[in-house]
Amino acid sequence: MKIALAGNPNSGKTTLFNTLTGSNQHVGNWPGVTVEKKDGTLRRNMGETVIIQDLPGIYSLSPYTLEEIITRKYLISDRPDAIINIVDASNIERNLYLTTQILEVGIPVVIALNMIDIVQKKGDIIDIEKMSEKLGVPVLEMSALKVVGETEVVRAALLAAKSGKCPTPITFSPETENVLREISELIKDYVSPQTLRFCSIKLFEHDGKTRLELPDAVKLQIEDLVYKFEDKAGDDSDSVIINERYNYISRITEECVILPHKGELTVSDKIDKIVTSRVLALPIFAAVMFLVYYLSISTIGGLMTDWVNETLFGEIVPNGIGAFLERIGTAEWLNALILDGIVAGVGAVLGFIPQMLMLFLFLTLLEDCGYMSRIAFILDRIFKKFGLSGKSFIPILIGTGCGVPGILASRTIESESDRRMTIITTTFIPCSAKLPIIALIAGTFFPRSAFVAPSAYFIGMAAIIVSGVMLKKTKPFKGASAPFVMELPAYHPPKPSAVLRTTLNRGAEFVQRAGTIILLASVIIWFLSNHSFSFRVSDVADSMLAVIGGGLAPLFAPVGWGKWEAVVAALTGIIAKENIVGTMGVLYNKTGIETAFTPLAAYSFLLFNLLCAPCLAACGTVAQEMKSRKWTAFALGYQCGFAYIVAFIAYQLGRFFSGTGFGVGTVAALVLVWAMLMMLFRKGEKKWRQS
Amino acid sequence: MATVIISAILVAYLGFVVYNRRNKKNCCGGGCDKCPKTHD
Repeated sequence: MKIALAGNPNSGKTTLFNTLTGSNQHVGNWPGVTVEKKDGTLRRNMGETVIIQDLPGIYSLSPYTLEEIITRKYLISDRPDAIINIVDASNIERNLYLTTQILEVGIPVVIALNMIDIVQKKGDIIDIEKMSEKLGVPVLEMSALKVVGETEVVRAALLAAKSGKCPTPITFSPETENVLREISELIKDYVSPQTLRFCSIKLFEHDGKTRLELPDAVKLQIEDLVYKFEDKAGDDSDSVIINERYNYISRITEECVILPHKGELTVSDKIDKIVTSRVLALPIFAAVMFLVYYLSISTIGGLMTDWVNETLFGEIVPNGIGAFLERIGTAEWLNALILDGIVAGVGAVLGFIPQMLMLFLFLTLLEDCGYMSRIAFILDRIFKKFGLSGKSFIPILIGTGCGVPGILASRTIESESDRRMTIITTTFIPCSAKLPIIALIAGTFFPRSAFVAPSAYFIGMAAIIVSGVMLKKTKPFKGASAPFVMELPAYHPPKPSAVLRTTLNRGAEFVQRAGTIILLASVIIWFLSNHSFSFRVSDVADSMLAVIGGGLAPLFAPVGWGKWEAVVAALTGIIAKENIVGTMGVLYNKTGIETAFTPLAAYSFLLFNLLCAPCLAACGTVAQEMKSRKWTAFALGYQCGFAYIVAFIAYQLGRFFSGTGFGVGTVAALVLVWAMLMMLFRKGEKKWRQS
Repeated sequence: MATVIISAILVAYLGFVVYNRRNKKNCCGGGCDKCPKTHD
C-alpha cells in the first residue's frame, strides 16, 4: 500500500516522513528542501507493508516549477492509495488552497493539521470535527516535530485507503458547475472516472500542462464553452476558479477557526521587526555569520583542532601505529605508505573535525531556530535590487552543507536562465568539504587574524552576487527575476536532540569520507610522490607528481603559488575538496605546511580553491541539472576562470599594497578590476546591444 | 608475513572503497536522491 505525503512547502512533510520511516532525510525550514519524491517503508507494524512517499512541497496543482510538476504527475498518473495532506495549521487559510485541489484528484484523503502545538500556543482554536464535516474527509491534529498524533494520522490514512472512498470535491457557483458538467460530458470517454472532475477543471482553467489525448473537435468545443463563459463572467476562467476556491476556504475558516489574538504581534513578529528591518538586517546577518565562522574556526573549534592535529594525529596516532608496525616487522615501504601516506593524509583531514562539528552545530542551530529562513528573506531584498531572484538563495543555503543537494534545489526556480545561473554560482558558497582548507590556511598563515576564516563565507557570497549581476546582463541570462514567495516560520528554541543528531550525522559523514575517498586518494598521492614514471622509488622532486604538477605550475605562478605541490593539491581537490588538505598533509609531512606559501599566496590559494569548479560529485550534478554539455562546460569553465581572476587580483594587488612592488601583474590586476566594475555597472544586455 | 597480511587487508579495503564508489553507495550525505540507497 502506498501513502503519499502532500502539502505546501515547509509544512512538515519531510519531518513526518522521517518519523514514520526512520529515515534521515534533510529537513529545513525553507521551501525547496525536497525536490524529488522519496520513498520509505512505514516503521510501525500496521499489519501490512506500507510505503510512505514524501512529495516535494507545492502551493497548487497548477504546476509552474519542476517540483510542482513532479508532485502533480505522481498524484495524477501513479496514483497512491491514499494521500495525507499535511496542512500547516498556523497558516491554515493559504494551505487549504492546495487541499481544495487535492480533494479533486479522486484519491482518498486524510488531512493532518500539522504544527498544532504552535496554534495552541497562540491560543487559536480549530474545530476539527466541524472542519472534517465541511471538507468531507478525516481531519486530525498533529505535531510532526514533537511526534504527536502521527500514528493516528497514518491509521486514518490506511482506513481511508482500504475503504477506497474518495472525497467529494468542492462545489463551485452554478454557472461554473454548468460549464464543468458540459466539459465532463465531452471528455468522459477519454479520461478515467476518477480524474474526470480534475481534468474538467484543468481544461476549464486553460491549464496547458494537462496533456490529454482529445480529438480536435472536442478541444474546440471546450474552448468555445470556456470563452463564452469568460465573456459572460467578464473574467478569466482560472481567476474565477481561484476566487471561488478562496471564497470556499474563507467560509470554512470563518466557521471552524477562532483567532482570539488576530492582529496582535507575536514574539516572532517582534523579533523580525529588528532582525529583518531594512537598516539592521544586514549588519545583524554579517555579525551572526562572522561569529559562526570565528567561533568555529578561530576560537572554540580551533583550540580543539590544535590538540587533535598536533597531539592526536601528530604524536599519539603515528607513534602508536609506527610502534605496532615495527613490532610486527612490516617492510619499510609499507611503513612509509601507512605513516607518510595514509596517516598523514587522512589525519590532516580528520584533524579538522572539532572545527567542522562546531560549524555544523552553529549552522544547525541557526537553521532550527528559524534564522536561516530570515537570511533568505533579507538577501532576497538585495538580490532583487540586482535583478536576481531570492529563490536563488535557497540552493545556496543548502549548499553550505554540500553542493550536490544545493545544485538540486535549484529546481525550484521556474526561469531556466535563473536556474542555470544559480547552478553556476551555488558552489561558490563554502561547503563543509571546503572548511578544512579554510581552517588550514586561516590557522597556519593567519593565526592572529579573526577575519580570514569568516572572509571565506563573505567572499563566497560576494562572488555569487557579483557573478549574478554580471551574468544577468548577458544575453543568455537576461530577463526579469521571478518573484520569491516564502513563509517565515515562527522562531522557536532549537530542539537539542534534533540539533545534536544533525550535527553528529554531518560529522559522521565527514569521517566516512575521510576513511574512504580521502584514504584512497592519500595512497595514490603517496605512490605518485614517491615513484618516478619508470615506477622506481624516487626522490619527491623526480616523482610522477612533481612532473605533472611542475608542468602546470607556471600557470599558477601569477596567482602566487606556482609550486608543483600546491598545484597537485588543487588538482586532487577535484575528487573531493578535503583532498586538498589530505594532499598537503602527505606532501608537506616532513617539511611542514608553513613552508608551502607566503601568507598572501596562501590566501590566493584559498580563494582559488573556494571558487573554482567543485568536486566530481557536484560537477556530475551540474551536468545532470544543466542537461547540456555546452552549459556544463560553460559552468565549470566560468567557475575556474572566475576563481583564477579573483585569486590573481587578490595576489597582485596584495603584493602592491604590501609594498613588494609594482609590475605588469599589478597593471593586469587593475585592468581586470576595471573590467569587472564595467561589467557590474554597465546597462543591461538590451541597451548594450542598441548602443 | 606481516607485510603480506597488512598489504592484503589494505588492498581489499581500497578495493571495497572503489567498488562502493563505482556503485555510488558512498553518498555525500546531502539528502539527495542521486544514489540508489534505500531510505528505510
